Parts: sequence; C-alpha cells; structure tokens
Amino acid sequence: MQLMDKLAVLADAAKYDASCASSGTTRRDSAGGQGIGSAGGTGICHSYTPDGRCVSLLKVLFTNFCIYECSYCVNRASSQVRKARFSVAEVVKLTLDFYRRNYIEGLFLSSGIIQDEDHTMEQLTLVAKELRLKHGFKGYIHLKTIPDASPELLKEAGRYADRLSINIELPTQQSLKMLAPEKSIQGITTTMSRLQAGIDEAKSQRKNRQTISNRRSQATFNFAPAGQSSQMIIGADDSTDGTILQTSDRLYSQYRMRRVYYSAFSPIPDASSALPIQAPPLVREHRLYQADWLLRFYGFSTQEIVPTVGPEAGMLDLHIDPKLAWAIRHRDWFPINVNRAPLELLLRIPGIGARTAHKITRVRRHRRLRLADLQAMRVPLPKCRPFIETLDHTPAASLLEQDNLRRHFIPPVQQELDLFQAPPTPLVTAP
Amino acid sequence: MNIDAVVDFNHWRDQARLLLQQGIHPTAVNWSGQQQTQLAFDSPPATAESSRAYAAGQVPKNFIKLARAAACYRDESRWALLYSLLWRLTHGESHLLHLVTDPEVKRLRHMAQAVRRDAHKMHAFVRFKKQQINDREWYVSWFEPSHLIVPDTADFFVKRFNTMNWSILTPDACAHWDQNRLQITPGVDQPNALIQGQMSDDMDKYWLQYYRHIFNPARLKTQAMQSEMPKKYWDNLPEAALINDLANGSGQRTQTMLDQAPNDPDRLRLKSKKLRQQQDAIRSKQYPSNSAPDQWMN
Ligand code: SF4
Repeated sequence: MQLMDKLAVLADAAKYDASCASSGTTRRDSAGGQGIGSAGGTGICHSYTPDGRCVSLLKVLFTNFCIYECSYCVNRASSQVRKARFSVAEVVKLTLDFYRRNYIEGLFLSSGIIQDEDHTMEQLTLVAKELRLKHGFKGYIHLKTIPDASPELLKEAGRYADRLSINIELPTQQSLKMLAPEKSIQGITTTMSRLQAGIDEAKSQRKNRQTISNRRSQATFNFAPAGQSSQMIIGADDSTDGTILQTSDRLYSQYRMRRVYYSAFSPIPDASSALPIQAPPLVREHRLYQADWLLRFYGFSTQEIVPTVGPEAGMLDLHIDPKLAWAIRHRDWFPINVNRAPLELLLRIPGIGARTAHKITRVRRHRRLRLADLQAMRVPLPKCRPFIETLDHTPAASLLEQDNLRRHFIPPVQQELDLFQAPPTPLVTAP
Repeated sequence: MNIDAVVDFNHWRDQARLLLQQGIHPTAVNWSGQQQTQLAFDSPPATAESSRAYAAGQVPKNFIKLARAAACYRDESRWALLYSLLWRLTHGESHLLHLVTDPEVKRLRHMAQAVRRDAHKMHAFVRFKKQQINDREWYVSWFEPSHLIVPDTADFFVKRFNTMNWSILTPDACAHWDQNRLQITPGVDQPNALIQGQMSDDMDKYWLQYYRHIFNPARLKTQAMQSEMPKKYWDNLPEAALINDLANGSGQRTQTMLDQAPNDPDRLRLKSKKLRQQQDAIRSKQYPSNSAPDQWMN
C-alpha cells in the first residue's frame, strides 16, 4: 500500500481520540543548531477541521489491525474497514516533514493491538526513540500505552514521550466487560499506577537536581513530563453522568491525570450490533467537560454537580450549564456580594470564570465594583445578575424565589431541537 | 513637542523616558510628527538600561509587558496612549491598571490582547513550502498578520526551526534565517510564486490527505472551526481549500454509515480459531485482587 493510502486509513482510525494537547511539557528548543523543534510553551493549534476540532499533532495509529473486540471502536477485530500498517521509518518521516512545514506541534501515536501487547508497545516506543535520538526532535510526542505492556517498556516509552496515556474507555468494570471484553479496570489501572510512579519519580529527581544544582553531570531521568491523560466514551453504555464524573474524580485524585477527555460516540463505518442504537447528543459531552472543570478548578464535588434526587437524578441538565443548574438548586447561597465574598464563593457564581474571579479580587482592593466593572471584564450580566450584589445592584428577592427561574435561562425552542437531534443509530469512538 | 516616526517599543521607551525626565505632559506631545508607513529597520538608538527616568517600583512590570505587546498594534495612536498611561502611572495613579473600566486601560488591554492573539495565530498558521534556492533547501512562507508582529515573533521561529533556512514574507516586514543570523527586511508584495497553488511542495498533498481523514463527518461544527480559524487566514492555508467540500459532503457520509447494517461482534471469532484463542487468553487474564480499588468494581 502507498504511504498516501496508509495515511488515509490510519488517520481515519485515529480520529476518535479527542486528545490534542501539546502544552505543559519541559521547555526546550533547537537553538544552537541541535536537532529540530521546540516545546514547552502553550500548545498551538495549527489548524481546525470542520468538526470544530483542532489539529495540533499528527494523530495516527501505527496500525489499525487489532485482536481486541471493543464494540465502540472502528478498528476492532470484527470490523471490516480497510486495515493498514505503517513502518517505523514512515511515521518518523511524516512527523518530521509535517513539522518542518509548521503543520503540527508533534506526534500523537496510538495503535491497535497486534500479536501481543509488548510487541505493539515496542513499535510505538521505537518511533519516539528514533525521533528523539536520531533526529534530535524537540517537538511534542504523545504515546498511547497499550494495556498490560511490561513496566520496562513503559519506562522506555516515558523516556522519549512528553505524555503517555491509557484510556479508561468506560466508567465501570461492568460496562467494560460488556463492550470491551479484552479490557478490564484492573488492567487499565495497573498501567495508570505504573505511569504515575514513573512521573513522580522523574519529578522528584528533577527537584533534587535543582537543589544540588552544581552536580550538573547527573543524568536526567525523563518520564512523560507532560503527565498522563485518559478518555471515556460517552453514551455507549447506560452509565449516568454521575457515574462518569465519579470515575473522572478518581482518575484525577488517584492517578493525578492532567486531563480526562470525553468522547460522545458518533456514527462509524461498519458498526457492531453490540452497541446501543441511539447516539448521545453532542451537548452531553459538552456538559461533561463543563462539569469536569467545576470539579478541577472551582471546588465543586461530584455530588454537588449532578442532582442526586428528583426525576433527573444522576444526569446533568442539557439545557443550561452545570454551574447555573447548581445555583438554581441552591438559591440559599445567593445573592453573593462580589465586593465582599471570598474567592471560593465568587467561583460559585454562574457566568463568572476562574480568571474573572481572581481579577475581581485584585480590582476590588482599589475600588468597589459596579455592574459596569463586571461588564468591562466581559461577564455575561444576564446570567449572573440574579445571583449577585454589586455597589449599584441588588437582585429582586422575588427573582430568586421564582419557581421558573430555570426557564428564564433556557434559550428559545428552536435550539432545543438541535439539542436532541442525535444521529439515530450505532456509533462511536476508538482506542 | 513633535516626536517623529517612532518605530517600535524600544524606540518609544527611549523617547518616553526623555520626555518624562523633562516633565513634559502628554497633552503637550504630538507623537505623530513625521509619519513613516513602514517599520524602520535600523536598530533603535541605544540607551543605557540604567535610566532612572521611571524607577522600577513606579511602573508595574505588567505595564511593560502590556505596552510591549500594544506597541505592535496597527494604529498610530498607540504611542500617545502608552505615554499617557505611563504619565498617569508615574503621577499618582500607580494602581491604574486595576481600573478595568478606565477607557485608556481598556484600550491598552484590548490592543495587547489583539496583538498576542495575532502572534499566536502566526505561530500556528504560517505554512512553509520547501524550495531549492541556489542549491540550498529553503523554507518559504507568505503570511499576512493583522498587526506589526514580524520582528517580535521571529524569535519563536528561530528557536523552533533553528536548523533550517527559512524566510517569512509579509506586507509589513520579512524575517529571514540562514541557520546563523536573523535578518528583518522591509515588507514586500505577495510574490506570484507564493500565491496559493502556485508553488508546490510535495508534502502539501500528504497534509491535505491527513486533514481530509482526521475530520469526523458525523460531528459537523463549522462555527466552532471558524471562530478559531477565521476566514481571513484561509487564503494562506492549503487545507482551507478542502473545507467547503468536507462540510457539504458530511451529511451524506454520515447517512451512509448509518445505513450500513451493523455486524455481529462474534463474526470473526466464530471463523478464526486463532483469534478465538488469543481473545480468550486475554479475557481470562487474572489480576492480583488488590490491583484496583473496590469502588471501581461496582
Ligand atoms: S479500542 Fe484499541 S484495543 Fe479496542 S479495538 Fe479499538 S484499537 Fe483495538
């Protein structure tokens, strides 16, 4: 098969992985005439495809042959899509050629599982190793690790990769058993803890080296400086948003994930009959991302974010964002006075982001805030007005007491239609 | 007092320090004396960094950062604005930058932000084409930044593409790197050879192929795409030529996928003994019972 065809097949196979991050790694560049590339700043999105996703890394599978039967995946053993396999040299060349033209920040390499786990992992590692050692590549490398790859291979992979990841895929063991019978929570979390151990070790070595900075000759132990991440597929099983977020919460706290990605499954060619018929609305994925932020940066707990009682128990409101939904359920917290409330409370106000909340605390040292000040900070006033007090504004008490406060925020009917327009059939996400 | 043709931040800073030392009020300065439409490329007059005209504590670091960025904004009024802000900061309004509703502060922040965004987009959307020039490999790009950011963004490209020869040509200024020295030269008109589609580079074909296939037709969101990659950049992005066809064809492609009958997950297992054995071996793998916390196992 021609390289051009392989590229088509193996990009098609990789597109269901949502991760495209290329930030947060060690700062380095090729100034001084060594190798090629740079990294360590904020990630750069070099292009966007019409699905609204950014193109930052060359995202391909090494091969889409796979002996696993994950029903949500376009590459599973029983799938009849075209299959292909790169050589190590081909991926290396494509990465460098793309990089030199400033198309990309680096490489995101994943793979179907051929022969056995270690063999697959070896191939991925070899690509990274060649890029780093033979070509002095300083760009970003993200390698997907293979469940159950040996610790030695992971260590090797971590030496060359900026980020390593393994997808949790589904939030519970039960769902994995049903939809990805070759995978298990134990297998996946075993790898996650190994990655975490490597990341921690490298971090503490870096710290030590900084304190004993005169011993410069000490070899650096490098291990995935941009940390690990994971992905969950949304809507392939019947897990609630609450279950999904609880799983994310564990991934963040137990394995210190940098990111958990959510990927609502969408139609794939040659789908499996083991999948549910109905694809989830894309907005569900969006709400989960918002909830995820509340979890990580706003001091919310999963129990707060997802309603635990009532007809909607366990599910996020699709029509309004989760912070607003929480505020409507907890009106006794409001109004919050933006001139006096501590930062933790500012973070709870609908429409006020973390950055704005910090800014408010700085600005109010010098003057008391009015609505116009918030407007200057680009706060969406219609959304937060009912919940705040400023120097020149106190919300009408009746507003917070209204039964239909929620309706107040729901956009017109026509948008509701879009919300629920889901592709009617089988669908999906990959490795 | 007339100040002629300020060319960049350093130049402005030197002038501003002198004015400040002499106690000249912003309303008494006309920054748009002699206009020059181009950036000037001589290095600005060297002044000792030790100038105490504005003592370090007096001017917040953040102002210098914002001013450096705003200095690249394509608007001649920027020099007067910067001086006015500097004057106020050093004359009793040291907390000025916190006054988010102050019109001058707002303007400064707006300019700085626009410039940073533009620089970020330039890092992202410059596309090099590999050429042979005098028997040397040379990577050439045509780009049209919104603001006067070429000198300031060149450093990024030098660090990243240090071991390549490259030139970035723009209407305002051009940056050239020969693996040794960075040169900034005056802007040029778009060379015919660099009009999209005129100059070929073999890799473009692969890039377009990749773009076509990394796109998921089942999740069309053209608005999200356009807010991050506005149309004004499309002319210089080879992949932009594909956007309309991909977007228009996506409904049909999704329908085709939906119309396909789903297949039996055991289809291959039943046929291939080898696959069955491999899968069964993996499915029956045992892990030490303590390898995952209980709460996962529900
Ligand atoms: S998710 Fe990964 S392991 Fe599972 S079938 Fe797809 S490629 Fe294979």
